[in-house]
Amino acid sequence: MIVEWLYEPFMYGFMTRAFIGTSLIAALAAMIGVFIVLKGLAFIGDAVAHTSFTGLAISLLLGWNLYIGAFLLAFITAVGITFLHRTAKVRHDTALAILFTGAFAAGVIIMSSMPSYAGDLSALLLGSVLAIRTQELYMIIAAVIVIAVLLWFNFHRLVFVAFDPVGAEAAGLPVVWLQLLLMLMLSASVVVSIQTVGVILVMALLITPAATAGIFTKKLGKMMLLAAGFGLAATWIGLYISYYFAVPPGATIVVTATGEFAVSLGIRQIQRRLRLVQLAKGAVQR
Amino acid sequence: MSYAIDVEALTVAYENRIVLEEVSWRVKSASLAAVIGPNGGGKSTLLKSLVGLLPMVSGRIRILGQEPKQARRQVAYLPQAEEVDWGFPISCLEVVLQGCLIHKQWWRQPTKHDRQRALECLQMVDMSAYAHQPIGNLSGGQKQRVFIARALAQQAELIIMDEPGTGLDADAQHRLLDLFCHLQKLGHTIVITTHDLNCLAEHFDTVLGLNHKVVLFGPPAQVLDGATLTQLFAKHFPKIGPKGEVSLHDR
Repeated sequence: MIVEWLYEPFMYGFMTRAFIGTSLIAALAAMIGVFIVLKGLAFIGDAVAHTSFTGLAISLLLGWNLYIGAFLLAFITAVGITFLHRTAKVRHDTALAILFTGAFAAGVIIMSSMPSYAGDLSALLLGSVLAIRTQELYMIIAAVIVIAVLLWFNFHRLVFVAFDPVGAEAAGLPVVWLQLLLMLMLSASVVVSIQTVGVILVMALLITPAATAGIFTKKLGKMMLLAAGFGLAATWIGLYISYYFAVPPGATIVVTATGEFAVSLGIRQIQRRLRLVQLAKGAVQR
Repeated sequence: MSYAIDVEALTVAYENRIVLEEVSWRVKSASLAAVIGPNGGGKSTLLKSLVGLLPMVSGRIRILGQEPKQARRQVAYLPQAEEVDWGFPISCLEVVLQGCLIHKQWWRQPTKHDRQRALECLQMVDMSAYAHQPIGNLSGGQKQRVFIARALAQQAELIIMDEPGTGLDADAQHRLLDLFCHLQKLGHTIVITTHDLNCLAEHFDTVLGLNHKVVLFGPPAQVLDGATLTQLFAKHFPKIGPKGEVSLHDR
């Protein structure tokens, strides 16, 4: 009965593609998200997501491949912010918020000037995981493999730069290139994630599983694996709920991830309380 | 005679302000050197210039006989505590392994041999018991020791530390100074900036007093006296106590 219930969605090709594509994206985004959460770069991710929408709109207008325009705008934003941070060394969150919301609004205007794309606007803002075509699935697989390989080979150096950027630069590590690489991986993760949850909710795939993992462990390797696990769990639970209750899949995945975070926080609080009670009991007995 | 550091007429500007002016300074190989001076006097700027982190306006720097950027792999720079993200979830062993990475090509990963070497380096600084602890959980002195272990894993000939004694209690400071002496015997050159003037005569071969320009330089016992210290710490009056201890007071 349960097996049948679990198996049923896979009778449909679009659901199988949705499960495969979203699982890959969720696991990857969660691992990149660990760096984003630990370095407090969530605002960069948000800016990248918003400006990538403008890239999507420009691609539609010019007839380019959607992902190329989105990736270009996303990467330019990420690199721009990184250099602003390195050179200006000023608080720039306000300026950034103005810039990226402005860029996003420009994207909306471009989209609205193309009435035939009204359906695409909704898909881009909220995701269209069930519409993943075989060709897109291949692209997601290729992007995930490239990013995973880059992450694997550069993991220790990225950690060095994140932990001790001055020491890393003094030791001759190519700090600027490594920071750009992180931004490149972030941009690519955002762009491939847009298909699943859309521009508005893309940050949830990056941030929420990583933050949930951070509740349980302070070890980087474990945090990345746990984050990938939470991302995968949210994806699968979200897709099943979406299938059986006919609710939007992208939003359901994000709500599930948020639920995981809330439950994890609750479990952690209960664990702490119990430990305090045990300590208090021990003190009374002594 | 070989010099680990050879600085000639170095001028460095930071945000259109000259921070170091015509600084000349030499540190012999396998010696202990301290840099002292008031806050904002250019100590950290000098150290960062030594590892090529800041561009110079004029002058010349030779590190282990090479340009600063060429010598980077043989030099370990330990920044001030606030420049490190101590909240980053990384164990002491992983920090020390970073020292091994420096000599590898970008695609190479740390090996079993590297891990063994990292553990040996932690043992050398008496920190092997903390190998798997997150570095953020350690005390200030223990963090410095782990960073020194990273420098040893890097096989750095020259170890440059920016205010390693800040925030350490007397015992931790003494243990750190003993470690410096031990490393010196092994052939390492150690350069630190410090505000603790009392440890200089006993432990350091040379001291450089810096207040944008060189105010004093030489063996501590010869160059540190009331007059030179007053000149160095223009706004803070140095007072020498009955046992020779130095403390700084506002005028």
